[in-house]
Amino acid sequence: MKRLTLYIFISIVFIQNVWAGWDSKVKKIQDKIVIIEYFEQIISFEAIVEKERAKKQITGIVVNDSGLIMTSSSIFKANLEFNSVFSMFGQAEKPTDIRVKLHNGNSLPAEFIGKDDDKELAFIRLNKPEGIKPLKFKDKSNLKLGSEVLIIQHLPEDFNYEFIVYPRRINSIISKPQKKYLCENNIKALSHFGLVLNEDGDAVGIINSEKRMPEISFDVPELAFNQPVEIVLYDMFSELVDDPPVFKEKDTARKKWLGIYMQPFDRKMAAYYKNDDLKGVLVNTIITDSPAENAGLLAGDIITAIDNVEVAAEKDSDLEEFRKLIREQKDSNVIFKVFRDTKLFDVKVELGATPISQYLADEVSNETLGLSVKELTQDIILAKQLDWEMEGVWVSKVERAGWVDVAGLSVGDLVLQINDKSVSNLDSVNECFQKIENEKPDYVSFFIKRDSGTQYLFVKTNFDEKMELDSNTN
Amino acid sequence: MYKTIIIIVILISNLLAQKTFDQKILEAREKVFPALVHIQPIKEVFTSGEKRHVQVTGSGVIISKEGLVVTNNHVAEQARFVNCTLSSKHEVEAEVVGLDPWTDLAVLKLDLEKAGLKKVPYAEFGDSDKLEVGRIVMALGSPLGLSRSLSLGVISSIERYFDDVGEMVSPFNLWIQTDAAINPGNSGGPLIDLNGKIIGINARAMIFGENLGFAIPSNTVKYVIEQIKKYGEVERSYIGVDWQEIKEYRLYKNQPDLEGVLIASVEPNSPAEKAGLKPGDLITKINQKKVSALYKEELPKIRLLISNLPIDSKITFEALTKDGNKEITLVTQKQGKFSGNEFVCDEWGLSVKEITPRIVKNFQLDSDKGVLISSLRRGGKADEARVRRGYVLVSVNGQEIQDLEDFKEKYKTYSEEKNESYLLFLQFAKRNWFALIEGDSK
Repeated sequence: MKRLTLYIFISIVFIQNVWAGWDSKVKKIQDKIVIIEYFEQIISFEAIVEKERAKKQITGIVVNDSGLIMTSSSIFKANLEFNSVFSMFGQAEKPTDIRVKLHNGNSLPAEFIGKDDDKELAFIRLNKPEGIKPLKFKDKSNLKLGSEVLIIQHLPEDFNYEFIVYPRRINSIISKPQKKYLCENNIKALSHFGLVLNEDGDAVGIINSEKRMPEISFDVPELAFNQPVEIVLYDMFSELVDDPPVFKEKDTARKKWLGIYMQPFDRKMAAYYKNDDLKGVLVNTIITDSPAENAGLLAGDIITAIDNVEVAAEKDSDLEEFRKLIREQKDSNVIFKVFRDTKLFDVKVELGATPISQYLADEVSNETLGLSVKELTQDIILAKQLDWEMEGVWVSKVERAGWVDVAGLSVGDLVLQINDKSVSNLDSVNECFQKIENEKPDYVSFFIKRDSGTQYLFVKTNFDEKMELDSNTN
Repeated sequence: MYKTIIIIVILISNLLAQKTFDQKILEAREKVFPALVHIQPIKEVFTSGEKRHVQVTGSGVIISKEGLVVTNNHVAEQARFVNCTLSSKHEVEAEVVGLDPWTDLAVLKLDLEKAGLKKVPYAEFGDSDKLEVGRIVMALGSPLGLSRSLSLGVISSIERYFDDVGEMVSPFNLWIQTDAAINPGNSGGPLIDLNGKIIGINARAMIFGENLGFAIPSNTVKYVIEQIKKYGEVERSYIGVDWQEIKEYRLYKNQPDLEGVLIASVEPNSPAEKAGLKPGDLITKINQKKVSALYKEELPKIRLLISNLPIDSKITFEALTKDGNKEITLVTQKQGKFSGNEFVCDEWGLSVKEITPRIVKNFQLDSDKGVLISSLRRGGKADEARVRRGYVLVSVNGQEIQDLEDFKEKYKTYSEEKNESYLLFLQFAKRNWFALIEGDSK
């Protein structure tokens, strides 16, 4: 009899689950999925003071009791760290006037907390959480090829920002270098961010794949349309939820850095080195003043292990794994096993913090002359083919038809001297600007480097007219 | 009665004048037309890791009875064979006597003997220093391959200055601008005046512009021809300075009467750098001769002052520097090649190019060691090893490559020992790349 009760009980639970369709699954989580409204500064290289901004929306998920909300890092597009690719988004600004629209129609203010560029996730926090319960992700998920999942996103304004819920199956599982779950994707939602539930209605992960343009090449590019979407499981970001990254301008904690360029070391290479079993990562470039140089690594070295963890790169995607391993090291002091000149030996390396990108670089502006300059960062040094150790400042903005623009100064020019005074940092630039404001000369000279040569530009000023304009407006 | 006669005389002379204008065009044309040449060179180009041939079309003009032809460098460079069709429709082969990329000029010699001709009609040069804006001119040539065409216009400007852009350079001359239609294929053809004299060699036109054609002034052309006739090339002295005009510098310095020319840039390891010339120095005299360039248009004159000196000449500059007046003396060098030789490595599926000073400068290289990868065969060994165009090959199996000749020699061994694998070390921008060329037996 007892057994029969148990059977009945089990079957009721089972039937309930089957009966519990999408509706009830969505009801369970609907107040935890929110729309984040924010303003993005419209960046122009031609205006010193930014005035225009665009209103944007993106889906977010409430992930803890204190009102922490997780979303895509596209909310703040700047690449904060130097990663060898020169990015236009170096100029992006932090999102402002953030408001969170809840399912019940309430709209609450929130602030930006921080982001992780590697994981492409950002966090904001409600100023007053007001007892909103967070979404709990399931620790372990057991997704297999063909498993059904339910994806929840918002629709755009035309559809009144309603939820859109659709089932997908895991169409492909990529095993290397990192396990990836892919499914087909053809819904144009409010944003590319969304929640993923498993068959039982448990939150198991997110989708967060912004469609990227394929790498530019002379081959006919395969268009990025109809690319599968990746399901990012909870264990990939659980640490961030527990300890979210905090953006503090230049003091933002940065990931570990070695300071090399590398390439795969494949079986053919191993055969060339007459060492068929040798596996590793081939170092081809050492950045000056980097942890790699300080540790004595050389171009041509083959790194075979880090703290006894073997590393091997047969192809480009394997290099990503190596990069991740370095970036996510907890301890700065690591021991590399290196193959050089037929010998294997240990090298002590003290990893540093990844250099900042131009976004985090300090900037000095002068509205009178109509320009902004920034201190040199590694990404600009690379883009302009300067010496790695070079110090200096470069023109980051030029006010359209402003004084320096008329004289021919362009964004990207490296400023070497102002009024015959050498400038190698922002302090010296500030001094020069101060002096110009005080002395009001008729002409200001800029000695610059552009491409492979240097040249002088003479900027005609017009302080008289400026003073007239200023007094009129006052 | 007198009045009537005067009126009649005026009327007749007016009629005559009108006729004369038309007549003048025909007469001028008649002086140059027989000397016009339609040029179809077969060029050697290095592409996809191999030497290929392409045919292009240009124009030229015969300038001596022995059959010297002047045309553009960009028409005749890399030419393997040059096929010329004369105005008389005779087809004559020509050989390249000399090229000067810096002025975009070339001199060819028609093989009259082979063509069974004793002499050919030729045209004469006018004096391009005496040109005036507004004068009527004609452009002769083969626009878009349409041979023996003539277009009419006026001189629109006589001192057009162009900054160097990539392969398009003209540091030593100003340009004659004309609204006589000039199209691709007109290149190398003559621009003539109503006296039937060559006043320029047509070389450029503005894309998307209308009636904006540009010709190299005849006086520049005459100088280059003389040099090429003597030496097979134009030898120029080089010191490694980029000059800048001082119009605004004067204003900045608040010295309206200042004369001189400003040093904008000094190339690393150049004679100028070694002698201590620096950007910001104002040069007031070159070899005791006062120099000044208030405007850009005056810069070619200053460059010529140096380049026309014999190589290894002593030059003395008087300079206004930050540390006061200085006299700086240096010895000129021979100006480096414009573009280098190329070489095909068939086995590896690539072609390499000599690293000239221009490549060092434009690619911002640290030295002129090595060779530049100029093209790759898709799917070839080097392409598979991810060697890319624009990389500099620094070493092979740890052996440094000095220059093209050194590489050619080494490559001979490499290509013979096909079973060996070769590890190439390459550089690009500030980064390096290892490429493994696998041996055949593996």
